[in-house]
Amino acid sequence: MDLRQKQIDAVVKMLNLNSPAVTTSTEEEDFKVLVLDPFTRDIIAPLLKVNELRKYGITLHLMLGADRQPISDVPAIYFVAQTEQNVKRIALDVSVPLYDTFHLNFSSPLPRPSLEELASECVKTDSISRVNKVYDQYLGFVSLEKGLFSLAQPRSYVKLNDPAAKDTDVEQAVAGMVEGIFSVLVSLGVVPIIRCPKGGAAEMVASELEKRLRDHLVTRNNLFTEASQAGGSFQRPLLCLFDRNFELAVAVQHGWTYQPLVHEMIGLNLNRVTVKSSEPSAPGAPPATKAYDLEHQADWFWSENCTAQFPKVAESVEAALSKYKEGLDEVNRKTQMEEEEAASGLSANTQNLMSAVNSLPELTERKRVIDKHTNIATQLLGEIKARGIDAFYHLEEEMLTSRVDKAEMMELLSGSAKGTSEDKLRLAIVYLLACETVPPQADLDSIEAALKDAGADTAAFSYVKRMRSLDLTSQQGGASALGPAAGVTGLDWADKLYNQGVSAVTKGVKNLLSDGHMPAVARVLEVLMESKPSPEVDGYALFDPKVAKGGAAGDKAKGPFKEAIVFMIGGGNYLEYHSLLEMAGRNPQAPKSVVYGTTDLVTGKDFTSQLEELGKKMMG
Amino acid sequence: MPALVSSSGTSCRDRTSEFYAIAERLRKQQNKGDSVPPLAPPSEDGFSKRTGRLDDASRSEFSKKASRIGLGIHATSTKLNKLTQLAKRSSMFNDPAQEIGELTMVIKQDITALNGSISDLQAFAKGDYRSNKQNSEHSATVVDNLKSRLMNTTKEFTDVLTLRTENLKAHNDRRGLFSKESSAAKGAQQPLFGPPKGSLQLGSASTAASASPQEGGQSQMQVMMPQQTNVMESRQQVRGEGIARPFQIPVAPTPSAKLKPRGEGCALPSTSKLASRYPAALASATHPLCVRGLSARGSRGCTKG
Repeated sequence: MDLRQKQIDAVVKMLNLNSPAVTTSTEEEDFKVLVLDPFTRDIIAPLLKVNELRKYGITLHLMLGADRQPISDVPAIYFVAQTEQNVKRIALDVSVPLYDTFHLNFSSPLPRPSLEELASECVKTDSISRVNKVYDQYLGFVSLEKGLFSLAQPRSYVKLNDPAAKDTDVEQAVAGMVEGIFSVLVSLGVVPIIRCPKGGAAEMVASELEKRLRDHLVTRNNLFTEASQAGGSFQRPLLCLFDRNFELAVAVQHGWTYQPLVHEMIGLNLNRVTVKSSEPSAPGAPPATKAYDLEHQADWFWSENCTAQFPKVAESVEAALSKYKEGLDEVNRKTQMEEEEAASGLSANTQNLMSAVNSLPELTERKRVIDKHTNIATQLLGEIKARGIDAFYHLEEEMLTSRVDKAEMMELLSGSAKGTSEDKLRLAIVYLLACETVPPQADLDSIEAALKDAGADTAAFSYVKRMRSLDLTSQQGGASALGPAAGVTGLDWADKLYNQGVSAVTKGVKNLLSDGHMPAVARVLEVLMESKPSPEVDGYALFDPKVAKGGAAGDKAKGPFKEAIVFMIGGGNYLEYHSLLEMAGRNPQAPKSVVYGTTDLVTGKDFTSQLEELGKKMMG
Repeated sequence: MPALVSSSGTSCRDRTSEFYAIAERLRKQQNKGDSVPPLAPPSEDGFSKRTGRLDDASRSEFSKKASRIGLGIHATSTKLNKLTQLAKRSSMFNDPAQEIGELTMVIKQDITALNGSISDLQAFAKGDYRSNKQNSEHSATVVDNLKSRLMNTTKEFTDVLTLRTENLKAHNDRRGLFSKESSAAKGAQQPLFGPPKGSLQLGSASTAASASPQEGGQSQMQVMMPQQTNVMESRQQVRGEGIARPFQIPVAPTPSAKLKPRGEGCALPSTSKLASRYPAALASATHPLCVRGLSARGSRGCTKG
């Protein structure tokens, strides 16, 4: 299940004006311009670079919202989201006309009223014949890696958990997720078995998604027919939906491996980072920066080390550098030898020299990659030292896996200790989540006081504290933790959506304690994929869009599964993604394939600020 | 229900006919039943229909020129593919030298002509009065794209020629090992065989059957492969072996040339010179064996024989 490759194929086909790709075209060359909006630009950016776009005949890529000038005699490919605003703008472009012909592609299905509006505008300006094609693409997601996608829907945790959220807002957010996941399933060509914990946003999305799939599957020529005929695997994958409340700790804790650190400390966006340049800039000028792509295909170092712990990464950079130097010496030695032999007339063979020369481009490329990671690692190291990230990481890890040491934590929270106020706040939240029972009020007070001393806003802490106390209430009602949770406390906002989601907060954490360090999502997924009997997943809801409504799910629905798609509602991160990859690869005899998706990839810092926002709303 | 287009595992939905049906209905409403010519979605046949372009006459001069060049490059690539196959297929006993020679010349001329057309196109784009900034950017990219495609073709071309030269050399070496006569003849040929400094030559375009020792490698057009010069030159002087190429690409050897990949910065030769000289080369079917000068390996072959 290489989601990224499938999306690339689909985009390339679109750039070929939706004809099957012709590699050795005997036709005339066609040049085109591409018009994007911010959402589709983010879709394309990690897939194709500008020079690749050129390869497919794209001379210019322009933003729909920007000022654009007419370009004569060229077809334009529009690839935009299906918004009303975009439709209006397209109608305007067609009426001018800005380009010769218009090939319209919408990232998700264009609603019928919008299509009618577009037609009506074009009829008014008598420009309809310039619209050559109108296509619905099912590409409304950003695929970053083979098994990683994001729906680029930021702040969804706040949207779904906001006590003041209107039903329509929540419904809209859920509909957006359903459409995004539907696009992913169309791209993969699979109709999965859907599982999720009962209650909360996960079940809501799951049942809406089932409805969407069911409605679509009744049409005869549906989007999945072809895929199933084209020799797709007989076994259907498992789609597992979780809500961020299922496990909060992994979203807040500090990472210690390369990719999560880069994401958190430098800012990894669409597989790109911007690093302060090592070369000194002119005095007075803003510090020079350098942007790097971090992609598995083009960067061997990244694909080898992105899940490695930071000290190991630093070692690998060293090792790679010395290996490069050896390679360079080798080339120089061979060249030298060749020259000497040539001069003395001994050698009749340029083989050595040729091989040396041929290895040079590869060496240069190695050097480029090494330099890039030297720069990134240097900046990371500076940040880690300044904030004492290692100490935070180790303590949090200890809390989540073995024991909770409040004294040690208080030391780190104190004003004299390293770390930003946000680091300290995150540590305190992890502590709160890791404790088996809610700590006594006196402890909480002293933590809050310490946080305030450190300059942190305690709203996020209060929010998590409230959630934990809700959880506790429900647990007194029974070990199953399935009873109504929030109703007891009279907080109807939580009741609205999360009467179950909330109680799962500490459940995930406890699982961590019992099974070494493995985020709850990975552990639950393993159980579901291997269809092991486990009381933990007995209560999970099951949806099979292929089975007639009311009919019993067949044996196939029970697994075991080789392939799974995990979707985290409310924001995921690289730490969680890596834990799934690790789980999937743990048994080399029976490797599993896992695709991880989320509404948005959020750093611990971003997520904490969403908690803070909710905390403030909760307090009024 | 809108038609479904799905191939190569990716799916999307074509809603063009749905769109046109709506437009048709709206137009009828507008015109209150007056007869209007029906709207039809663009048909699928043919390429210009695919892009939705109108007839050729309505296209701009720039785009006509550009597409002509694009087609030209494509045609040249096709010829080049054929040449590559011929060069790879050739063996010591079956060497389609004439065909290779002719194709080489044709491709050479093509590349030169295309190079000229691209320069024209570039000049034309710069002088286009209707141009705005984005239009110029578009034109510039079109020119760049054509240039880089032509450059790739040229590079492939030089690669094929290198391959060809190596093959011929291998054939010659093998012959040298088995033929006494040729070694003797080669000795006699020696005075004729002084390659000009800074160039490489060998008897190319030759067949084993047609032995005409006196022609030597001299009438060959010579090519000096860019940036290999230093190496090859010294090699040549050491071994006294001629390596000729069907034409010459003048390039100033750079000091660091040895460490650069080949095929960069190679200037194109003027065709007139080539065109006039090449047929001569073809006519004088040279014997490869006689091209060999006095070389360590040559004499080794002699003693062995």
